[in-house]
Amino acid sequence: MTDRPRTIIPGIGNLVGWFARGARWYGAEWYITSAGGVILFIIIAVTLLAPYIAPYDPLKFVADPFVAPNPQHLMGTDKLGRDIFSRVIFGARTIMVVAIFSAVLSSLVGVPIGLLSGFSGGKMDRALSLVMDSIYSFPGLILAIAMAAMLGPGIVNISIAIAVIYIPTYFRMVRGQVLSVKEELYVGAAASLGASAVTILRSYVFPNVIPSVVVVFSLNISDAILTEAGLSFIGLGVPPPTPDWGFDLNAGRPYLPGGRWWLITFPGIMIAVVALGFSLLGEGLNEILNPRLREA
Amino acid sequence: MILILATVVFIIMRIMPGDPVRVMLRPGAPQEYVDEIRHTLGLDKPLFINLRGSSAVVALPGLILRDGPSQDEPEIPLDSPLSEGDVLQLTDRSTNEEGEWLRLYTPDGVDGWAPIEGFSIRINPLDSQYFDYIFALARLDFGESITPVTGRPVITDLKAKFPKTLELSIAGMAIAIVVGVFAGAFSAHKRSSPADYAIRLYGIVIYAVPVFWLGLMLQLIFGIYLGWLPVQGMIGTGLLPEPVTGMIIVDSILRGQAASLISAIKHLTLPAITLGLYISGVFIRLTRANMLQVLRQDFITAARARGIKERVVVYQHALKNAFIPVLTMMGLQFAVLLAGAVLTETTFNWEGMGRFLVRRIGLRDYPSIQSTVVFFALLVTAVSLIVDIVYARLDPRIRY
Repeated sequence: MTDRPRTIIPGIGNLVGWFARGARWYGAEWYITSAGGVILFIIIAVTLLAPYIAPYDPLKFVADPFVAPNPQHLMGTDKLGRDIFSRVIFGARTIMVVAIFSAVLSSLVGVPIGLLSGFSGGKMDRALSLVMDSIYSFPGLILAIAMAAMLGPGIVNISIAIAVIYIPTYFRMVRGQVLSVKEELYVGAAASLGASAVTILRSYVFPNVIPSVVVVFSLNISDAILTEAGLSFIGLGVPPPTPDWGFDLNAGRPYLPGGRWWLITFPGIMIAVVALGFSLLGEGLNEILNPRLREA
Repeated sequence: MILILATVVFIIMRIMPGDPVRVMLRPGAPQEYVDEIRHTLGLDKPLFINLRGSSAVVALPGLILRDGPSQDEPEIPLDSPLSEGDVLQLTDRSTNEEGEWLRLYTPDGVDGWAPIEGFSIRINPLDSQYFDYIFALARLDFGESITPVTGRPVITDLKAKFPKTLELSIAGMAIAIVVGVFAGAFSAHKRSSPADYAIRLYGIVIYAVPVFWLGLMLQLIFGIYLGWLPVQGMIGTGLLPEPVTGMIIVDSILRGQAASLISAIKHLTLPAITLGLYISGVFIRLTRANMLQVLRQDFITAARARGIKERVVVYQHALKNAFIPVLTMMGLQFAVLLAGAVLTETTFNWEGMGRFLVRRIGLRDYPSIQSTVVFFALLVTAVSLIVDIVYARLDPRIRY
């Protein structure tokens, strides 16, 4: 069955058709991926457009402290009278910058090391794997806490602390992929035609690793978001006046017994939704890009 | 394994940018004081291998120490003059136009510089920060706190805090297993039913929910609105039993204090549920996948053919076989559990190792931070070893 030829009109109609075709082809994974994609799209839009969406300055005291949610202040105000809705919107910037920056950092380190380690094999491979496995087996958050405590607060420092703990994730995945791709016939063919190791790595091995890197990258951002929130919850995140979901949650904690639920509810929901978005996207992409792994 | 982890922690703590002594002290602390602390902690030694010499033996009488590596620097008065054969600690070397100078510590703790002539240098390659640290670890010497109580061994604190974390972890793990295994098995049993989808959705969503926020929400609902359970602390005031094991529930039972026991269980409930739900998602997914495989196997069909009740087939015959991988996962999840425990303890003011770590970070008590992290590493390694052993016991196919 072929699709009826249609005029290409950019707009809703096309989008719906494209979506329906995807759903028919991939099934449930398609919905998972799309849900993740939609959350991702919204959060990136919010991040970029924060100054236009937020009704108030997130650092200014715009009302009385502890105003419950109402039409003027959709999520209420905090102990200093700052608008929580605005802080939540600007908080998206902090967490997204840290999460994406750290994911980029750790992939930039982990992927090349994994490629080299898997491709060259031998003693270096064994040594690197041992070190990476050890870091991997260790509770990541605790390592990040130790590092963040040493490095001090600040967006860059937090990103580095988070990046280090996720390097092994990339390393292990890339190394595993390289090991299996290396045995493929086309790699052997390229080698017998006289392709250099660099060429093989660049033109044959690396492209086969990319889909998995994309998946891990998405899942990694989800983890990094939770880790960043955890770090800032215990006070190791960005320095105070900056809006930050984890930090705001902790700041609202003492007022819990007073029943001031809005202080802690909204930043938490945001963390969960954004982390969920990235993990849905990653899981869905995993099913779509690596169909071999699909449950029988 | 422990060695590698310890090394990784060492590298992170010592080689990453950021000076621990500077971080520890307030800004503007005098240089002499910084140097003194650095020397006390052994942080003025080379990092890995000491090739510059670890001590210097006085070979000529009448040597003097100076403030800096130059003849123009003022002399440092000594209580007892240096005599031949005295052994001084060597902490630095510097070469300038006047020749090579040594930075030395006398046995009395005087710090000064002297020209290399007149000393014979002893080299001990293992006299470095790294080997000091590894040897101390091998002796289970975790160092001493600097603040709030200077000189208090960190191990004393860890001993007091560890049982609390253990108690919370065991309870959390138990809840995770019960919830995860039964929900997973049920989900596999009623495959493609609405319940299955709901459980799978829960398994995905719970993974993205930050554990501390989950704790706060449970506090809000069960502690504040419903008022069923206490939200903070580990036990009611005045009910703390005399410590035996350090685990409050166990202690209450051992001391036979019923009121303490009830209070302790009430206090444990919310943190344990928080921690348990946090890692239950993984168990649900794993159990479900395993059950689906097991339920396809011949012995299940055989059991059904013999007319055994469906409930018994699924929850006894199949579940037993699907459980072994769950056990492995338990070991792997223990690391995640500990990380979750740090946050859960902070949320519930649970005085375990996690809260200890967070507090000491606030106080910048560097030795405590490092030791606690290493202790966590030891714990993770120990648990994975135990799981391996239990696994080999349970599954007769595995022989080491």
